[in-house]
Amino acid sequence: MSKSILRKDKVAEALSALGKQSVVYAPVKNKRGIVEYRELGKSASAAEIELDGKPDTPPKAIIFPQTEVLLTYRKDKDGKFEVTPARPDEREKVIFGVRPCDAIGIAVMDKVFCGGKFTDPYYKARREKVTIFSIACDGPMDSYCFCPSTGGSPAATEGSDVMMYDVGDSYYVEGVTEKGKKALEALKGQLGKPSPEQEGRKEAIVEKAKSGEGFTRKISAESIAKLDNSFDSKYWDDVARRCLSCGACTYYCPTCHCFDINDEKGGERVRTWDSCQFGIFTMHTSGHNPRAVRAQKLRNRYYHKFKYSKDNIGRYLCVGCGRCIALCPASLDITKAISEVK
Amino acid sequence: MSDLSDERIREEAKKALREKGLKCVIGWSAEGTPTFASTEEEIDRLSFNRSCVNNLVPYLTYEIRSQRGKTRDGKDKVVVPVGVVVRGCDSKALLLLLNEKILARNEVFIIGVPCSGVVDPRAGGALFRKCVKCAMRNPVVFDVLASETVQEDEKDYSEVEAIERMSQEERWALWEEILGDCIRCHACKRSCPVCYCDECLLDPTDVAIKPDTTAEEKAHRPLWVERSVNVPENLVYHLARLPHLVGRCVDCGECERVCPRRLPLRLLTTKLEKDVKEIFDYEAAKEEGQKPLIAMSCMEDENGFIM
Ligand code: SF4
Ligand code: SF4
Ligand code: SF4
Repeated sequence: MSKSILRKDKVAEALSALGKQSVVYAPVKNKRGIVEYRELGKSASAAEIELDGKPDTPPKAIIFPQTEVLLTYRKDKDGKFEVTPARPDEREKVIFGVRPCDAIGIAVMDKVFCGGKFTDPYYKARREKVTIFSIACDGPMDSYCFCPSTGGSPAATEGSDVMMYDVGDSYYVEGVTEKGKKALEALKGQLGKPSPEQEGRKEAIVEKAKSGEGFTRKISAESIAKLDNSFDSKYWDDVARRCLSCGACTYYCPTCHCFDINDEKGGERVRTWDSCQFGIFTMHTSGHNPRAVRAQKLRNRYYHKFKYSKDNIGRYLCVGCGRCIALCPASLDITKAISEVK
Repeated sequence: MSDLSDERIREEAKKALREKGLKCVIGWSAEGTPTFASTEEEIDRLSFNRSCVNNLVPYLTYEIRSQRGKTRDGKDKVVVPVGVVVRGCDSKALLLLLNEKILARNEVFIIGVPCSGVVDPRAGGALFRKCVKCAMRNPVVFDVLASETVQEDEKDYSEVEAIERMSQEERWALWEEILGDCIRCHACKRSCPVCYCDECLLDPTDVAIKPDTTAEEKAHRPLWVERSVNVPENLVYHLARLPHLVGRCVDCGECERVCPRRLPLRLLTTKLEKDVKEIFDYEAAKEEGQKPLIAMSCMEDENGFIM
């Protein structure tokens, strides 16, 4: 059953069916109105899920948590150290209701953590247990979206195991990967056969996505190409003049993956998210900081998103979700910043 | 609010740019974006309307302090004055910095805009909660005012009073939930107009190591807050900020505005302001030349919790 229909009134039932084998995460509105991924059954119920928009937070923390103990150590009476590696979370997980940009975000992180010479065992252990159910977007979800400019699309399947298309009172459901197809087997009782009309609606979403219709926010390939020769431009001083060097953009970005590792009290070695906007990020012990001022730090973020990543992993590191634009306290806008590069 | 005040802002900004040789004037664009105008043409883009939400004072501080330093022959560098547009709440923060001698009065040219509230983009066109009832709509320090003053309200303490009535257990649960949801992005601290230290003991993401910092100094740098984001560390971050803000925080609400987790941080700052008023009969940035609260401690002060 690789092409099927899930009626919206059966979604809750489908989630509990998935919940028999896996922990299920889905977007839920918190008490302050933020839609974010929560573990169903533990902190939220299927009735509360919000599948119609772009969640305010990306699903990144499920696979790459903000704070992660890597190992603990104790010194015994004889002064010998006993080291205990942390055990990875072994539960199978389904992330349900992911938007295509965020699924690509996970695919991008896969390249970083598992795609090259080195593999991050902590990331990999968690990632292997995750199955991603995405919902294609019927055009931009809000005025911040610009996925078509970054090699994505509102119906992109990269990173997704199962794709769902909103065809009215139902989702058209399609297994993308083997993992996804297998996961759908658990939903036999909830899935039905699509009608030709539903097939048609799904095709319309895919076609619309290809055309890039509806997106007003854009970055052109020409302006991205300009980055090659703009590193030393005074332009970055002007752009960064209002940057506050906080971590809101990086923490909410579905692909920002930089981390720091510290030994903390109680004998824990902890990995935490880091941000290229923080002063300590590039601080050398000598006291020299190669990226000491705001313009250097912000420029690095933009170059990493649109140039270094393209050179190194063959893909933009920005997936066009627009969250950093929506959340920036100083109203910095990555699309504007890149489009106006001088 | 009206185009009239825009004209006035631009006129006064241009005049000051010419006559006082300002480095730039920091204001908002018509879309509400913080803007640095250093030519008359750029000044023509300045505006004030309901979408101008940023407190611009941190930018002012940066523009002035980054000019400071010594020349090769050891003299203080000349600071070129900077212009700024401020609402009532912003002006309070600016006055505090002047009173604390972080900025000098002749380094700043202040265009005040009386304000009847700005719109919260997350609230679909409604005013920010802090703007619904505001006791500081009119600038308290300025060189020129861009429009007529407006009616101010009584400060609304009802939410804080509701928390004061809670039991200790209820309050603990409340703050554990709220502050446990913080991701420590540091937006609140970095946008705070009265947080201007180069290094903050509550911020392990920034240190002021300079090329001349000795190994000894580095080794003895205490780490008060771990990088781990969890309830205890978050509590230390937020609660230890408060004593540093006593009698200084003007309750401008910038921290609450910028928080990507939408945490109600003004519950803390409004309480601080209320306590300072009730216990010490003091109000931050009330008048020019006012002494800092911390410099006014005396034997009669309440000290029951120490002795
Ligand atoms: S950026 Fe694209 S994929 Fe992401 S929510 Fe918007 S339209 Fe959907
Ligand atoms: S850089 Fe901004 S728009 Fe691009 S993926 Fe990250 S948060 Fe989204
Ligand atoms: S802005 Fe909000 S999330 Fe960020 S550190 Fe402050 S309280 Fe925490």
